[in-house]
Amino acid sequence: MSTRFGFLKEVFASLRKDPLGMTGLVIVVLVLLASVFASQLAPHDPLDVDVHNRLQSPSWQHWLGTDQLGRDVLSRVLLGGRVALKVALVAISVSLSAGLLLGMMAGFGPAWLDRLLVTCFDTLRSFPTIMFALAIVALTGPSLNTVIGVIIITSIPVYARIVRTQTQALRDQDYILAERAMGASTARILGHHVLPNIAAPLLILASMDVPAVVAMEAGLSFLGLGVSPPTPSWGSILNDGYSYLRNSPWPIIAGGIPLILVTLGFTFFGESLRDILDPKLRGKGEAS
Amino acid sequence: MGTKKKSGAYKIGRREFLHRSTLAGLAIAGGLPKVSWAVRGDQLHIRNYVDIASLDPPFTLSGADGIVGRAIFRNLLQFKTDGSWDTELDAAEYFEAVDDTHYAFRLKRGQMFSNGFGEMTADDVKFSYERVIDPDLNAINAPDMGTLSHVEIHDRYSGTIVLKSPYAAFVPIAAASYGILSREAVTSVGGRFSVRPPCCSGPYLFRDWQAKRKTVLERNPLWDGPEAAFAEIHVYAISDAKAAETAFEAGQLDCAEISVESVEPFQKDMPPDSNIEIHPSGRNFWLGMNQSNPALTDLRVRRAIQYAVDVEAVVEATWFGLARPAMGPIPRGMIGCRDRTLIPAKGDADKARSLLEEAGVELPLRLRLDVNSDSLELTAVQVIQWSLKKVGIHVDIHTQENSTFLSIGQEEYGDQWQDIQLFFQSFIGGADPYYSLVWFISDQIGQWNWERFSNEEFDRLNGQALATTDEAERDRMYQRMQDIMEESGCYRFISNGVMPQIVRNSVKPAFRPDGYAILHGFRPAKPVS
Repeated sequence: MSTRFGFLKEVFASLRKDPLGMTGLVIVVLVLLASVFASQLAPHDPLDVDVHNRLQSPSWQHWLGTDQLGRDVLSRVLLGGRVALKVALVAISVSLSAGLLLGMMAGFGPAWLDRLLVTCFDTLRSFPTIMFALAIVALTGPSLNTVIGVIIITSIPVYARIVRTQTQALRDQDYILAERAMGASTARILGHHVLPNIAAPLLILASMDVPAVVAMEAGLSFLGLGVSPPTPSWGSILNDGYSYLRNSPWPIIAGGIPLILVTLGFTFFGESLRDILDPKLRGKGEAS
Repeated sequence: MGTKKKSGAYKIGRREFLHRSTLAGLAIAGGLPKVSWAVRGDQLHIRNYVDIASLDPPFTLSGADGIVGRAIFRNLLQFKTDGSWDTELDAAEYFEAVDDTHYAFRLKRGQMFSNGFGEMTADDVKFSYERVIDPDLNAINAPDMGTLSHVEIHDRYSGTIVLKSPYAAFVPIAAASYGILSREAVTSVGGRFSVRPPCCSGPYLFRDWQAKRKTVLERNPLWDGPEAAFAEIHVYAISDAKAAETAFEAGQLDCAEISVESVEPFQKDMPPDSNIEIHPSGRNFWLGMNQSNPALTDLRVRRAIQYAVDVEAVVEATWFGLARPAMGPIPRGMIGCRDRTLIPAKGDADKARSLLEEAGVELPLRLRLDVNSDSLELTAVQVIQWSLKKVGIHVDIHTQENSTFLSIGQEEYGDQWQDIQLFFQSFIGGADPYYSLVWFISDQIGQWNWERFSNEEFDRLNGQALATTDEAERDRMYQRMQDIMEESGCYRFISNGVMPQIVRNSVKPAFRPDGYAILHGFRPAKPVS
């Protein structure tokens, strides 16, 4: 435990030396807190319709104004953050786990299995995400679960491809060959030797994928393929904002700013984390 | 033009920026340099909400086809350009109902088809009408001709249209809506055409069509009626209202339908020399309930939903106070429009709660509501959802892309019609009340009657109203039919909507009562220099 805490301390100490990374961390923490405590922080019920007060400009009562149905935009943005992060966390966790498993199987397994899995990955990746989402939505109807499913299916090949490459690079290393010679099982080699070596870059990749997934969810919701109304999502807030842009610019501003913040926050944080965890980049402060 | 400030800095306004950037874009794209500044003068530039799909009358698909078709073909009769459903003579100099099944007509002499296809004759009328019901042609619009049997020709210019049985909608749906084509011209292109007509006979000629961009019409030199007002009409296919609004602001359009939410901002900051006209729409918006779904078989539950929905709030939120709650599918100004609804537009939440209690429904009741992903309709259903929540009905909104949505109630596309509970639907009616109600007869169950509403009296009245030409009697029957629909609990009528149009002051537009443009009725507001 103490070693683990020591490692985290070292990472945090390095982060403090990187202003952008620290800024990213602060944004990430704030966004996470705002999303977790959205219900407590929201000044109004985000679903409460008040037609006669629609499209109001910001005021003391409604800090970010109201939308076309008179709903408080700030409350909707806060709740929308919860949706965005839920999608990101669930989709990335599942696709990362599945990608890890399949990637290691492809990288460490027999050649025929590798070819089969790579063909599957490439086939899945060949579908344009939006077209794929449209097809799935046509079959199942739009919902949060559909969005998560689409993102998982389209993300698994990305992770699996990277894991496969990393696994292939490791499998002929002397220490792996020695383990094999000593009769270690495949599971032991993968679990004790391969996984620890590929975990760090994978986690960095996952953290940097958060804004991409959040943007994807927002994009699908913007197109009406995401969460069903009246559930707020940053994408649907943007869509409403676009429709009523002439009447009030506030909904589109309010929907856009958190997307920008999340993108910047996770990108700064992820890049900083990569620099810290990748010894080759230490001191260079630049992505390869 | 931009203005020079004292400092010498050049200031450009938002509109001018739009204007110039649009022109630059068009010029770069090699597009329409000629239309840019020539919008004024003897050209009319107008938005059509979708591209034309077919101008051949038996195969027209949308109102957009009709907008262009009415300008290039002559009908026996035409709708007046005064915004009423009244008709007047067009190609015919005489048109009379001899009895309930015979209409005598005599064509004006000297009406010429373009492209050298000669003078319009009674044989062309016979050809144009009978081909619509020709089983070999299998025309999608064949039902419009109703009970048409055949057309008898008396001489070169006169004849009699013979129906098998009375068909009250014949004049508005057929005689005033179907263009007369040259037999020789259509035969020369194989018996049918799509967007490029082999001949024209109206005040304007078809000149060019650029897919998904525009259709260009030009003044017909052979036209013997009042001179067509514009040398050219450019009809742009712009499906996105926001894009049309920008094009109008940039000076590229003289008239465009705009979205309801843009009316107020435009009124506050009106583009120069422009005005907004709010026209009623012939569209019918309603909340439907599938009475065969187990959750909705109890009439009391359906009636509770009717009472729970605050139509006034839905209309206010969706149409920004520009539209009015519907009296039924038949819009105001048409025979059969009611002057009241059985359930007040405001609804009655207490009554809804008591009906649910009486029905023994366990609350909260969870229902699904299907809707297409159009932003206007999404706004409406969210207010409905909010209204229903107040009485303990939780609605899950299922949005679907339009073509998918349109298939969910149709049996030929699978069993999903069984899962339909509530749905928000709309369609554009026609020039006769028959068109507004025919979709709800029992024969339409599994096609467009997604409520699976079936009522013997309704079906009987539908047939009778079509068979009588007594307007008072038709009016009474159609009103009763809408009462029956409302009594069934399957419908909560919402609105007929509106069609706001933004128009240059230099143009005097003409629209049908359902908001569709009558291109040949457009005139310059002042003489063209």
